[in-house]
Amino acid sequence: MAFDRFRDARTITDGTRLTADVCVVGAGAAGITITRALLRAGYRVCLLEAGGLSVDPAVDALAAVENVGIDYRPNDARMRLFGGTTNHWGGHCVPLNPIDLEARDWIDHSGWPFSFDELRPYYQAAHEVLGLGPFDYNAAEGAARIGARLFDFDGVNVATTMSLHNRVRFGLEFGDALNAARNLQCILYADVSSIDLANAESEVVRSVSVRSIAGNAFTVQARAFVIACGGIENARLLLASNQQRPAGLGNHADAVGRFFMEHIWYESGYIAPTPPLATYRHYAREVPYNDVRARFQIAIPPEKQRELRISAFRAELVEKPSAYWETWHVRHQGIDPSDIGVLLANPLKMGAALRCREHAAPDVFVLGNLIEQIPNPESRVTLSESRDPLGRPLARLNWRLSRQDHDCIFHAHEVIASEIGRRSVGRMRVTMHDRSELDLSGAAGASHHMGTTRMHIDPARGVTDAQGRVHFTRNLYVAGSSLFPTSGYANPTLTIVALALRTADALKRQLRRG
Amino acid sequence: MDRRKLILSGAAGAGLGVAAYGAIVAAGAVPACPTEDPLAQPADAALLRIGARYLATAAGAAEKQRLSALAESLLAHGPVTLNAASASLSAAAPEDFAKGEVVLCDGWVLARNEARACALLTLASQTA
Repeated sequence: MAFDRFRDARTITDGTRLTADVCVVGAGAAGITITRALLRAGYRVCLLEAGGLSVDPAVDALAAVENVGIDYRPNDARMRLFGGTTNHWGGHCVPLNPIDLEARDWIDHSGWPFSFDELRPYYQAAHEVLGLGPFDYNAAEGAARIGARLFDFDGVNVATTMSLHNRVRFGLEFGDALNAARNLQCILYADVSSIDLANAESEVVRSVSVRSIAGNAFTVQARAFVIACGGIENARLLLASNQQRPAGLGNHADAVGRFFMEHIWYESGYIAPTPPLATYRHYAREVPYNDVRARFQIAIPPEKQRELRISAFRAELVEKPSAYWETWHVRHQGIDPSDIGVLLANPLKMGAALRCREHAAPDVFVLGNLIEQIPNPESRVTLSESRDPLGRPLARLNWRLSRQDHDCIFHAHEVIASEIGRRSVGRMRVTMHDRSELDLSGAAGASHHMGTTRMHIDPARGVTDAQGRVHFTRNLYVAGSSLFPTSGYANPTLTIVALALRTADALKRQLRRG
Repeated sequence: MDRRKLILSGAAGAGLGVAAYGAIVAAGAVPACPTEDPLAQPADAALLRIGARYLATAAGAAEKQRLSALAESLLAHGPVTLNAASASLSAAAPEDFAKGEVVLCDGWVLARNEARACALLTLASQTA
């Protein structure tokens, strides 16, 4: 079936003015979710997607990012096409924990403007969108359901968590219904260049200016607007919409683009297991679960997080050769005197590890740590001096980690190592050091861009209110993980969809009021 | 617009995704490189290293003296093995872990008596 009602921005006459009740910018998980909710309520929606139906380098070039922080390629896993990054995501779904939304005195800038209970019904609705079945993440019951045996962790110091996987490609899943919706205009290759107020003093957004790679331009007028372009592009668009407010829209508190967060992925520490290994392998791979798939992880429970004053921590296990880790310094920093003994102790094994790297036969389970990054205002997106092919400033990203991020993993490992020993299932080696300097070399992101338009009820401390509406505007909303004040360790898509449904409810209330 | 294109694009995207996420997840799933089995390697060097670190960082003078004496008495009965060293110590690893008696040696989080057993091996190797 063809998406025959979708339009191509490249063919829209220059200067055209389109109208709708709501204009949604970005057809990824957030944008499509809000669009569906509004269409069902009978509103006329104009959905603008910067990409087409396939990957297009010319489109990608319009969202290139100048990276000036730690070694990081922010766009490697982002997709600019209908369906957005859900076109290749891992389908990994897990909700935030209640503690993740709390203001924690050991984490500056923490605290969501509402509690987990507010989000719960939207999580349940998001489960339906994502085809995940019941909203139930009890690891023990889940394991029992599929006959998996988990570690008997005490649940106080260390716990097992469960996540669900269902790789819903939003474009494929919902494209036919969107194409059939008579109250939708979906326009591909429509790249929004600016958000325009009625006038410089106004709080009402009147239109968005759209460009295409063909060079033509048009506008969309609507009663309300939703920006759902991803964690970097949302900030870029607000900052670049500076014709009427020189700092950019929503940037009254200099918060747009700040607090860029990733889920920090850092492989460190390993467990020498005591056989049998079947239990370990439940933590190392996805397993069939009802109609979807599940995965189990090792986590630090909320009360232990409070005691240790650390952020949210989760680790999955990755089977690897121990010798590969023994040679880490040799591969990354040259031979340190302390490594010579290691190399000489077993030259054949070490030689094989250097030659085969991580392909050598696995004998340990490395911890694939995925942690909540501490919100850091200096970790930020700004506008670059460089321009995209349409002459607009590119985003400039300075992703920064902090000592607290390092400490989270280190302290979590001390606890997990003791628990592994106490349960007599193996012994764990902590490969980080409790030194004063930040030591997270090799850390990567999970391609989760968060925090750059954070919610806060106080306009002096955030970009949007608790509904995702940009402060000091009446009809401009943001959707997506850029809203997250903190991130927990939860992969963000389930929360993105839940928040999008919540924002759609707020929008509908506003539209009904007129 | 062609839906098939989107499907193909999704497939291509999935490929990209695997490539992007592969560095994180798939490394453990690649075929084994022909090499000797690491599990078959003698662990003595690692144990000696742990023992040396314990003596250097976690054992006081009195503890070193006690362990040296114990190592000498074990040596009087022949070569010292890990089993023999462990058996000569009064507490077992599970009890240590339960009591929180753990030490960090060479990165390994061990029951104190495990580290002490390694220290006995180290001292015995130095004495023998």
